[in-house]
Amino acid sequence: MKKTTIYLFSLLLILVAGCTKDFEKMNTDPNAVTKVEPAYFFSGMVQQVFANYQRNVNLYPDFYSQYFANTVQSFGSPRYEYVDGWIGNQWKEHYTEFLRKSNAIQDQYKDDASFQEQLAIAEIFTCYWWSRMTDTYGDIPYFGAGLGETVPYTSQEEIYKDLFARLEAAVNKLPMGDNQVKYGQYDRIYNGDAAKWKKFGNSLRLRLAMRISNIDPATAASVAQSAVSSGVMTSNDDVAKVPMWASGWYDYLHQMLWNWDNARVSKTFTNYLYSESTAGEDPRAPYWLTYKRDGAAATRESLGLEEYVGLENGYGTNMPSDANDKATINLYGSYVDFSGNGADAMYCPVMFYSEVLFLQAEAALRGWVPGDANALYKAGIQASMDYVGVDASAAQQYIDGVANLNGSDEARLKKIITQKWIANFPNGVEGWADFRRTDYPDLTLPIDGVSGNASVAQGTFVKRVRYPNNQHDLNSSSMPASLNTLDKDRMDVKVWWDVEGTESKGADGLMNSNFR
Amino acid sequence: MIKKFLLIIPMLILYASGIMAQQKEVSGKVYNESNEAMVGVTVVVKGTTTGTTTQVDGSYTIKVSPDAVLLFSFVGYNTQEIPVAGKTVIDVTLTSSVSSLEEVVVTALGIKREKKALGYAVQDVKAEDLTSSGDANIANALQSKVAGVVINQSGAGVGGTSRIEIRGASSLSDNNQPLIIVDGIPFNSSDASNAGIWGGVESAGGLSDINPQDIENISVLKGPNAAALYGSRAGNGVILITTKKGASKGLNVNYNGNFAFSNLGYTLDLQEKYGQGSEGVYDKFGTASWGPLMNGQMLESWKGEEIPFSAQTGRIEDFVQTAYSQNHNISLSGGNDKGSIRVSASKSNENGLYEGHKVDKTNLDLKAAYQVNSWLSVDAKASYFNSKGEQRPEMGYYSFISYFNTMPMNIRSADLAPGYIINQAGNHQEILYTTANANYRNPYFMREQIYNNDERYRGFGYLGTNIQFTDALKLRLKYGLDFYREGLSNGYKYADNVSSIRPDYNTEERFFKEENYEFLLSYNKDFEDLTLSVNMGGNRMYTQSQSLLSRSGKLPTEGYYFLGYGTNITSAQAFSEQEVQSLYGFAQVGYKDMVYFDATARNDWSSTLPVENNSYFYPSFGISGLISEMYDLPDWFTFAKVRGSWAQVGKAADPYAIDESFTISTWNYNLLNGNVKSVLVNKDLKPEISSSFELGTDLRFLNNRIGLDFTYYNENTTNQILRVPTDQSTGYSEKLINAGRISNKGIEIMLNTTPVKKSDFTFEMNFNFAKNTTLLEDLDNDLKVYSFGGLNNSVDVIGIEGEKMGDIRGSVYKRDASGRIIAGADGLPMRQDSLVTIGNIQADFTGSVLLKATYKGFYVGALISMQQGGEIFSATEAAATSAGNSLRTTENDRMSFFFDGPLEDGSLNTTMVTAQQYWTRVASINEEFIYDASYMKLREITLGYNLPQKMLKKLNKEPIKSARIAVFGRNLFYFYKHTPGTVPDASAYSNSYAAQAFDFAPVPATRTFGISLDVAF
Repeated sequence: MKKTTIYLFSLLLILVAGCTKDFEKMNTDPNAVTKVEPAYFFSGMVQQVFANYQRNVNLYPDFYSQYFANTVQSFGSPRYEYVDGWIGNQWKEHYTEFLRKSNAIQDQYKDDASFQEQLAIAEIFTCYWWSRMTDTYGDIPYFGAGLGETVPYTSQEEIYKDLFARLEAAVNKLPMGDNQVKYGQYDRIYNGDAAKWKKFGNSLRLRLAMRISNIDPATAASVAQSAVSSGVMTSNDDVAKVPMWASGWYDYLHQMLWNWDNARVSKTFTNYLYSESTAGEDPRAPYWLTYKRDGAAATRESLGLEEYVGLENGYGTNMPSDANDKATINLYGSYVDFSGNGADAMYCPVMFYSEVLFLQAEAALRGWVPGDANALYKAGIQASMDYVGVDASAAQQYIDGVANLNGSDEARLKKIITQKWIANFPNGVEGWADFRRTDYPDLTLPIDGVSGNASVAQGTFVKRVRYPNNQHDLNSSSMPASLNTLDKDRMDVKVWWDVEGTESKGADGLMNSNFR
Repeated sequence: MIKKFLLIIPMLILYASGIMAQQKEVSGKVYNESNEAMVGVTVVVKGTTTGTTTQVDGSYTIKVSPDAVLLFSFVGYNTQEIPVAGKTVIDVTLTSSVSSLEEVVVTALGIKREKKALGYAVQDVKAEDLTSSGDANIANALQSKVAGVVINQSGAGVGGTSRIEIRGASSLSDNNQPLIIVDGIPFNSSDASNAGIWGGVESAGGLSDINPQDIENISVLKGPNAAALYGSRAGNGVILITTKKGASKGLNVNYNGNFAFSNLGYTLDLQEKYGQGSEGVYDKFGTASWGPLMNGQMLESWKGEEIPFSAQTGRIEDFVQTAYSQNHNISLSGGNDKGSIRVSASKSNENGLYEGHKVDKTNLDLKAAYQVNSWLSVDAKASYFNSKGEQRPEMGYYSFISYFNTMPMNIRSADLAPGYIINQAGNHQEILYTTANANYRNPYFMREQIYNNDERYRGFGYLGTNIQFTDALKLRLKYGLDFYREGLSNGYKYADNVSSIRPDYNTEERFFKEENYEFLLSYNKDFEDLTLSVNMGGNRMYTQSQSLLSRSGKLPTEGYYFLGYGTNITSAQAFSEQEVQSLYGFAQVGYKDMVYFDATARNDWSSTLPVENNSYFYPSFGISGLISEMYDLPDWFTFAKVRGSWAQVGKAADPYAIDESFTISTWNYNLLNGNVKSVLVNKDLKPEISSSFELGTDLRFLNNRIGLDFTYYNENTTNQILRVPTDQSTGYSEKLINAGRISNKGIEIMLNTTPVKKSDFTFEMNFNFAKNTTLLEDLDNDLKVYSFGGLNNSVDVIGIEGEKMGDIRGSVYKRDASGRIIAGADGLPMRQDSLVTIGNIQADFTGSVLLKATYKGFYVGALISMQQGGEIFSATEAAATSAGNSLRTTENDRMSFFFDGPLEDGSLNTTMVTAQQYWTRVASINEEFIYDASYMKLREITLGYNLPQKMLKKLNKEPIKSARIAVFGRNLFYFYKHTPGTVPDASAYSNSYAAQAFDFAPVPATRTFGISLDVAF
């Protein structure tokens, strides 16, 4: 008996005693995959426009473009302070999420013939995202980035050159026909329509060409010509915008301008709604704007106000206590981007058709593309009115009240950029880029002054965002020598395509830098 | 003379029968003073090597001549000599040695050893010291009772977590929490908390599941030296818990119960002078207290009524309730010759300060042992735990207290309550004193709106088998199981202005299990001058955890809260498993009770490491020398021992740390969404090895009236498996590396004194002192600063290579070369661009004094604990300063003034600033809110009375064996502290390392009073 039991236990012991053969299998996550179809990455890449919108966009480009103004006294970014945990996210999200997905799509499917159209579309959107990154910072890690190794920074000039090449190659592939796997609903912008992506790709080429108009006009001209001849957006049906699922949670303007009450529409913007046409109030104003009273929308008429009035940009400790009584966006009107269509709650713009017309107007003014600058300019306003939903007669009345382009090229450009800026509302990323390039329209310095804690000289405008702490801490050796310390990495340093500071604007309100 | 002769005759007869080999069988049982069977007691015939040991039920059988004398000996007990004198049954009760020199402690793998033989420090806490203060959570009850063990409660109130740090933090990546072992089986200590600065709740796991009344003893193995045999997870020390077992004779029934009340104790100091508005001007919708003086003047309030404008200082008192708790435990314990059994049931209810917040626990425990035959015995334990939490408070920025601390001082509770109105649509609508905004909310509404509940069912137990091959050789086999299922649900019941997806509902299910199979073959033999013990064992540990989380938002109406009622249901699933196989051996050699030498060796094979690196070996050595046995010491010098040891402990990675793959889940529009993992994997990952050595001495004087135990240790954790931030342009935000070296050096001193020891009066004073310094000796080639996290964009806790770990990093004033604060063009003090070290969380030392006095039936116990040094950042006060609520904002009657500091160019500042402008700037300068975290407080006090037997007999026909009644108090007062009204030791938002640096709008710390009753039948 004793022996039997002991043998039995010894047997048990042997069973218990191990074998490590299963270890590798055991250490493989059963809830993960090793290959992902492009569509599943692409839909997330497109929705990157909403990623940390407040911290990445609203607190920076949206304030710097003066579409919106801050209403929280303690926020530093409206007075040009850098906050790493805010816009520093954009860097992290671009490199560690967006770029990784983009690289994975190319890496896993580059040899699969039936996915080439999806790859070309992803390539176009990747270029769009790169352009936002370089326009925010200037030189950034680009070639070889996102592959696990530290790479040197690439100059913005090199990046633009490469983006032009990549975009041209991609649009030339599109569309590729029915044998290609389509994104379908995974493409929340164009539902997989390759022809529309081609138009967007060319429109993006045109946008980026005009971005370098002052620094490299020769390249700008040739890219602009090539883009227009290959086919840019032709109607409001081509607008590139990302929908917001009505049942989802998003960090977008409805939060900042309504739920959280930490921003209102800028007074600079509302002023321009009354100054550009002899017809008076811009008919888009009530579509875009309203007031918030006791948690509900209130039109200016119901409040007995003459005009929609926004808040001055750049309040610090002098923040008025009624800041949130200023105009806000109208979520309850009929402007589809703000009020949605039921299934989609709102839309975040990537590029409006009107912008493409204004880009062409500028290109025509510069003589780079055929066409009449003034006609394109007016068509741009019309396209915006149509898009916003203004009825034809009110739109006509407004446009009739807008003077034709006249005077010097600078004067004409100022008008084009001003109307482009109005029409681009609320695309702060684009508004701020145009202002940095052309110094139009007439934006204002922070009303309480540039913060003493900002790296922007008093009396000048913010020109870029500094590199995140992550880079200063772990990769400063790769940075451009002129920016590789916190002292040198200032936010009044101009990016490559930005040739002049707004402070050199003449008494006539015009620059001398846009037609050198 | 004749009588003597007559006595000799039987002895001669007996002697003769001995000569004729007339040996008789003698049997019996051995008990301790509390009538519990004693296993392993050595029974030998005096003057021979013939002997045996007692079985699990305390029984023994031995063949001896009737005239033999039996010696009963056991470590920690007085040896008894009993002549057989012809008896065939000899039952013995052993008394514990008067001197605690023979103290026995539980060491690794549950092996009981004489404390004097150990080469490392072990400190014990007895049951009575754990339960006297009536705390249902052992982690709290253990506070300040062991030198070198720092336990910080989080600021979550009832049911919150505690951080337990033994000899400082040794790892950058894990949370440095010790391994908990209950009766030899690992007890999972993870918790379901998700608290952080942006909310989430705290929910204690681990120790809080164990019923304090079931514990017999806790022994803390502080360093890797003591823990070497537990391997990987013991790197942060081990808390060894031994639970009570059955009595071996008769039936014992015990009841213990306590009731306690906790009152609001400590809140931030607020100003009472200025009310709502801005720059001294009243604004009825203002969001801060920058308005005019409050003199009771009649002003139109935010509700539109004319009411007196006066300070509302009791708002938090109005909001909270007196928290009430009760614990009841009943246990039955008994046994017979063959075995013993104990069953215990307990129930506890704890209510928090906030209405609805409560934690209820039920524990059932069964422990039994049975001696099957002379060579086989089995023992087993089965425990069931259930804990249920409701309405646990949200932490951080969106906590109730955050809103109260920043709400204009004149807003009345009566106007805020009940927090909502029912609007036309029949829904709850928040009553707001200003424009709807996440930063200015109504806590009364939130208390109704937020809901959460959680429930954990846990099973724990083991089956053990002991086979005695020979007297010297035995085999122990054990299977242990710990598993739990946890269900949580939470959400917001009503819509609000903060998130458009509310009302919403989220639910989560988690499952965890750990299995341990182990064997241990032991050989113990005593030779002439040598004692030898050689052991060989193995263990196979398997853990598995699973979770399933589902969220559902935008519920169409109030009133129904379940997944299917939402419009965007998302779910996520997780699974992980790992296995560690180990073989180990250890040996002890003792020479003449003078010198003891120990060695251990262990090899682990882990499933989480790359195949080529998955096996790792680590040894330990220890030596203990008893000076008092080697030399003749003066009489007053009772005992002296020196000890030393050196050990290594290895540790593997987390599951899937080296698995490079993508995750995928449904997202917006119910579309699949692929995601990348943010950690760059390292295919060459190696196990981490920490090594440590310690030296100590144990000295006793005046017949143990004074005892001094001193330990010095130096622990180095190297080659750590770290997730460190990496250059993000590589595509990864973190990478997994083997790097770093953290050292913990320190001393621990325990001084136990008994100044008075008389038959009816004793007085003991026991001191604990510990000093630990954690240095981050090396980090990584690229990385020189490691952040443990903290507040968004401002204060965080970091380790800087080469420096003391735990620096608090934050913003400071911009100063000129001579240290004067520079004023900006706006006349306000400027803030320096870069964040710098403004403090450090490490205490210089911690200490406690335990006072115990007994006089006849009365006894008094008091525990005073203290911390010297270390800093804490009061986020609570910074937020209140920005809102014009903190006491400091009333300085200088809020007059406008010229800030006394030069401009950047050195010229005089000529711009006048208002108090509001000044203080809102100051609120963003973190260095202003750093406080010394030193404190001394009366942590526990107990006053009890043991009812005399005479009285008990009168009370009851069946006599009650004993009854004891006591009153107790916890956290009654601080002798000193430096934080502004709040407390420095229970204010963190979670039990993470970084959270310890913050006083962050905690649930107010309480003062507790209670009464307890113990009755034994």
